[in-house]
Amino acid sequence: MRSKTLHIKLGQKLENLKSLMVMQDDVVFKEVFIPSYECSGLFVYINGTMDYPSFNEIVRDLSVAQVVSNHPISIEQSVISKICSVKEQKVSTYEKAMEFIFDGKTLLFIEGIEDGYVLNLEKEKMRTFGEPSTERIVRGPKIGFIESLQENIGLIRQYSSHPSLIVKQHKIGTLEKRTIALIYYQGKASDSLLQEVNRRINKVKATDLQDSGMLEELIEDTSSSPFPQIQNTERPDKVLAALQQGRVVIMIDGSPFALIAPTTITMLLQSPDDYYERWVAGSFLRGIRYLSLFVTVFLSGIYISLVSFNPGLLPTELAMSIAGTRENVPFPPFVEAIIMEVTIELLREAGIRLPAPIGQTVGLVGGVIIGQAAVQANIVSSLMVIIVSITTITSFTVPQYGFGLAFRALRFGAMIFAAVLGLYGTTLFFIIVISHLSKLTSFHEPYFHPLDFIDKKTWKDALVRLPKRKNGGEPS
Amino acid sequence: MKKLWMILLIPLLSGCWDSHNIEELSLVVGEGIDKSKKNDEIKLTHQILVPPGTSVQENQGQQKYKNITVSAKTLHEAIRDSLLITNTILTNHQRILIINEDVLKDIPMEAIINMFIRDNSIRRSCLVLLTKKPTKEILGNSEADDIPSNVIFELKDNEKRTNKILPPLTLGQASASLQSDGSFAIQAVDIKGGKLILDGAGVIKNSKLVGVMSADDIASLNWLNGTVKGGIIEASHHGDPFSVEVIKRTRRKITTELNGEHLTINISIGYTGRLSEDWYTKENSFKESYFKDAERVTEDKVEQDVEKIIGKLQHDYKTGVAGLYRYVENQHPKFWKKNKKKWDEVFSKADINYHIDIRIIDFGSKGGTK
Repeated sequence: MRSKTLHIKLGQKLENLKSLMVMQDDVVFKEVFIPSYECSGLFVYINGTMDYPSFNEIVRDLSVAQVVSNHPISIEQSVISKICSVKEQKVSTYEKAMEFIFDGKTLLFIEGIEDGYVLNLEKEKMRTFGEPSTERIVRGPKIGFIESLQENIGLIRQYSSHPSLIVKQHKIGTLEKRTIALIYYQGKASDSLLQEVNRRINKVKATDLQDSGMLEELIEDTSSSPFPQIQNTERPDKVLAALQQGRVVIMIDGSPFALIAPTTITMLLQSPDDYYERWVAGSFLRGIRYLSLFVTVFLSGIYISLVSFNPGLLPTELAMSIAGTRENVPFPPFVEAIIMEVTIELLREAGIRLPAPIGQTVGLVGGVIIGQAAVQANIVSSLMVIIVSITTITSFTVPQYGFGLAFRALRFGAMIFAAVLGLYGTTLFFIIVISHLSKLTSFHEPYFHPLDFIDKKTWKDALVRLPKRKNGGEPS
Repeated sequence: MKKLWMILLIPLLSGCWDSHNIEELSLVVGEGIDKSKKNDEIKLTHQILVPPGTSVQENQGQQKYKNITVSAKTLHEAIRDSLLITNTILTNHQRILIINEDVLKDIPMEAIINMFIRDNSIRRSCLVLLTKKPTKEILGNSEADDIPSNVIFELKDNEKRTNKILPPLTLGQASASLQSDGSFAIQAVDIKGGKLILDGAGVIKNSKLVGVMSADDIASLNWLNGTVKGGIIEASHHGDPFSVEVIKRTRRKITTELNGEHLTINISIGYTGRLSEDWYTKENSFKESYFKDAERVTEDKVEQDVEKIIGKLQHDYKTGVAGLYRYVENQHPKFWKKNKKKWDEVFSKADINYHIDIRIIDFGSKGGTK
C-alpha cells in the first residue's frame, strides 16, 4: 500500500494517508474549498513546522480564485499559478508523500488531480547569529555560526563573493539524512586532498550525526591520539582564512562548528586576533601561548620530580620553604598533586554542567573551601595549590578548546612519569609527546608541519607573527 | 591492548626507587672540620636547615638551623654516622666548608677535601674557608635568627667594595690548585665581638698550612695579583690623610725574563680611581698637578705594600701563592718543566718588579675649598 500511487479521489487519499500515519498525532489534515471551481483541496503537514502567515496567504489566494470567462483555464493551472512561489515538486506515491511530510514540507492535494504538490512552507527554527561562545576574541568580527547549515553557508558567501568558492552539498547518514557541505576554493585546494576528503566521507555509515564532532571522529587519521587532527571553529573568519590557504571546510546541518582539514599544530595555537592586533603584541601573545602549553603539561610533573627526586636543583631558599610547607602533609607529592589536579578537573566539569545562575557557587567552593581549607587541614601544601592554579590558568589560554583538553589529560601522564622516574621521566614524557606529535598526520599532511624545520618560510609564522606590510599584505 | 598493559606495567618493576621527599632530607648548608680529642679522628659538623613552620606561632623561638657533630676516622664515615642522629644528608645545597687551622697543620688539604671532590652531589662552587676557632663555634654563632653559613657565604659578595677579601676560593679551584703548584691563599673567618668576620688568610704550601696573613696582607696580595675589584687606598699628603676609591683595572701585563737560572718577573698594572675623601683643607682638585701628586702618593703607597708582601712570600712562606707560575709556564715552558719541582725555591730567589699606575679620573661633587 505504501508504494501505491495516489488515488484520484480526495476522500480516498485522506483515508489512506490517515491510516498510514495513524500513530502520528501531530500530522494535521486541513480541507479547503475553492468556490469558483467548486472543488475542495487538502493540506497535509506536521504541526509546528509550518509558517502560518504564508499558509494563510495561499489559502486566501485559492479561495478567491476566479474563473476568467474569455480564457478558461483548468483548475490545475490555476492552482499552480497560485502556489508557484512555494511549490517544490509533485508527488505521485504515498511513500514519497509521507517522506515529504516528515521532512517538514506541506502537501496540497486537489480534488480531481491525481498528484500532490509539495509546498515549502517550512519555518526553520534557529537562533540568531551571536558572538561565538567558545572562541572569544577582543578585536575582530564578533559573529559566529549557528545550527542552520544554509544560513552558515550564506554567511560564508556574504564575506566571499569569489565564484571559485565551491559549496558541494550532499546527504549523509543511514537513518536520519543530514546535509553536509564541502566548501573549498577551486584551484587552491589540491585534488588529492579533495579526493581523500570525499573518500572518507563516503565511507561514513553512521545512523545520525548530531554534531560535526561525530563526523570528525569518523574521518580523522588517527582516532586513538589525544590530539584533534581536524580543527573545529565557530568563526567565519577562521573558515575563510583556512579556505584561502587551500584547506577544505566541512559543515554539517545542525552543528555550529565547521571542520577544517588538514590541520597543523600551529593552527590550533593561533588565534585570529594575532593577525588583527599589532604584530609585536600578536607575537608576544603567541609566545605566551606556547609557554603556557608547556606549563600546563609539565609544571606539576616538574614539581613532583624536583621535590621527591632532585631537590638539589631547587634554589636553597626555595627548597627550604617547600620543605616547610610540606612538613605536615601526610601524602607524597604525587598523591598530593593528583588530589589537587583531580579536584580542579572536577570543579571545571561542574562549572560547565551547572546552570548559569548557580555557576558562581563552584568558584566559591573551589576557591575558598578547596584552596584555603585543604591547606589549613594539611591535606595539601600551599605550594601545590599555587602550582595547580597556574596549570589551570595556563590550560585556558589554548584557543582551541579540544586541543587544550588533550593537554589537560596529558598532564596526568607527565605526573605519573615524574613520580616514577623523576626529572628523567619528565624528559622522557616530553620526548614521547613530541615524537607522537611529529608522527601524526592530518589528511596526509604532517601535523607538525610548520615546525619541522624543513620549510623555513612557513616556520617563521609558526612561532611569531611578523609584520605583513612589506609586501602589501600579499601572502608569502 | 595486551601489549599496552605490559608497557604500562614496566614502571611497577622499578617503582619509585630514587624517590626521596624533600621534607625527609637534611639540607646541609655548611660543614666544619675540626680535630677530635681522640687521636687520629676528625670531627665533622653539619649545619642543617630546619624548615620553617606554616604558622607564625610555630616560627617564633624556633631556630632556623641545627648543628650536628660527629667524629670518625674518615669524613665519609662521619657523614654516615650522622645518619644515626638525623635524616638523610643532602649536600647539594652546601655553600661553605670551614676547616680548622689545626687540622691543616697535620693533615694535608688534599686529603681533607678528597671526599668532597669525589662526591658528585656537592657543588664545586662550594666555598672553602679557614678558621682559628673550632668550627662548631663558628657555625653556632648566630645573631637574630641568621644562619651562620649564609652569613659567611654572603660576605664574600663584598669583594667588589673592599680589597681585604681574597677572591673566593671554591672547592673546585682548591682542587685545581692542589693539582698544579699546590700553593694558594685561603680566606679565614673568625669571631670578633660576637660577630662573624672575614679576617686574614692562611697560606697553603704543598697541601699544608705554612702561615697566616692579616687582612692588610690580603689587600697587598690582591694588589700584587691585580685582583682588586674595589675598596680604598689610604695615603696622606701635605700631612693630611686622603683616600682613593678603586674604580676598575685598566691594564695588567706580566712578563718573565730568564737570565740563566735567574728569574725576573715584571708586573705592570693600571687602575682608575676616584678621590673619595680628602682632609687637606687647601685642596684644589680642579688643578691637574694636584691630582698628579695625589696619584704619585697612592702609587707609592701601593708599591710599598706590595713590596712588603713580596718579601713575606719570598722569605717567610717561601711559596708562590700569587699564581705567577702560570706566566713562567707559558712564557718559558722548558725552564718550567725543568724547575717545576723546585718552583718555590725559584720563586723565592726571583726578582719581582712591581709597577702600578693609578689614574684619578673623578673627584666627586666637591673639588676645592675657598
